Amino acid sequence: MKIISVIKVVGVVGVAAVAGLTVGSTVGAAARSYSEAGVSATADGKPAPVIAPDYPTNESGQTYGRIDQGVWPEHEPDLILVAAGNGREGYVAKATLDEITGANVSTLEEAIAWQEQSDTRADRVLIPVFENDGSTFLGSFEITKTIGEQLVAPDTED
Amino acid sequence: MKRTPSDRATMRLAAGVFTISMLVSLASTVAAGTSYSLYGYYTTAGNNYKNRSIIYTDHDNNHSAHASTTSIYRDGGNIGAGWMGALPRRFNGNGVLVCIGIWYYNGGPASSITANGCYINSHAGFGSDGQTRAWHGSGYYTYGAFSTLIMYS
Repeated sequence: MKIISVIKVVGVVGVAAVAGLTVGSTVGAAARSYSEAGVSATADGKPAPVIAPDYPTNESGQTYGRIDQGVWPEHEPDLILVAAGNGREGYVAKATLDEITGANVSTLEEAIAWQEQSDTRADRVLIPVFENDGSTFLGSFEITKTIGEQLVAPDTED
Repeated sequence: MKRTPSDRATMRLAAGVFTISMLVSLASTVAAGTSYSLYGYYTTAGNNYKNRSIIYTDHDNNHSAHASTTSIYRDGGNIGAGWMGALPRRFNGNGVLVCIGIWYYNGGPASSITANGCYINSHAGFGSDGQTRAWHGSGYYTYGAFSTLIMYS
């Protein structure tokens, strides 16, 4: 009789453990998923309009500030707020950033050529971080090589 | 059916085991350390796309972290070479940019691209907020992808 009771307890507890693990992993997976939502462009394809941020200007006439989500590239300030490798916050020149990251690519031919040269690029490039005067050095900011993947859909035509 | 005190004790034990195992399982899932942003949708030159940011962290792999940005062509098949671009960016817990990758463009016809960059080993909180590009016929439009949550490496 006692053996039967022990088997019964072990069975119930085992079922509870399995159920708990299943529910936990399911809830965890659901928490990491996301709902497909959000529209980030107007009907003609141009990114959804946002009000241009009113950035402050330094004595050299350069605007400075942080690039928050949704700001068009043309609305970004001349000096962009970053955290340097040493932890200090300062500004990098947008012009430098754009040149090194390939943001200045403007045609399909340039894009393809840019990609063909990717293997020749350094793993990382450090650029100077300044105070908001654009000249007082504070540290270095890291631009890293990108490792890209592209998927090709199978040709469905016979 | 009447329950004996022994049955009630068993049920309490089972409930405790259920709760503990659920929490253990949930914790191990969340510790995977990946956060995906919402998808953003856009149409450029009649072509439909979506984009998102991703941040990967791995506490057990020397506190590694990196950011990814994905652009997906939604119309089926492939889009021409150079039509899509993606840029990974990594932010710190205060939302300040701490690293940026370089633009990645599809070098040939593709249905999606993913740009991975900003690899680091550091015990800190990071998020990802990348950008993507789409060719509009005479240049590129740049779209900000939504931000991920902050994940701790």
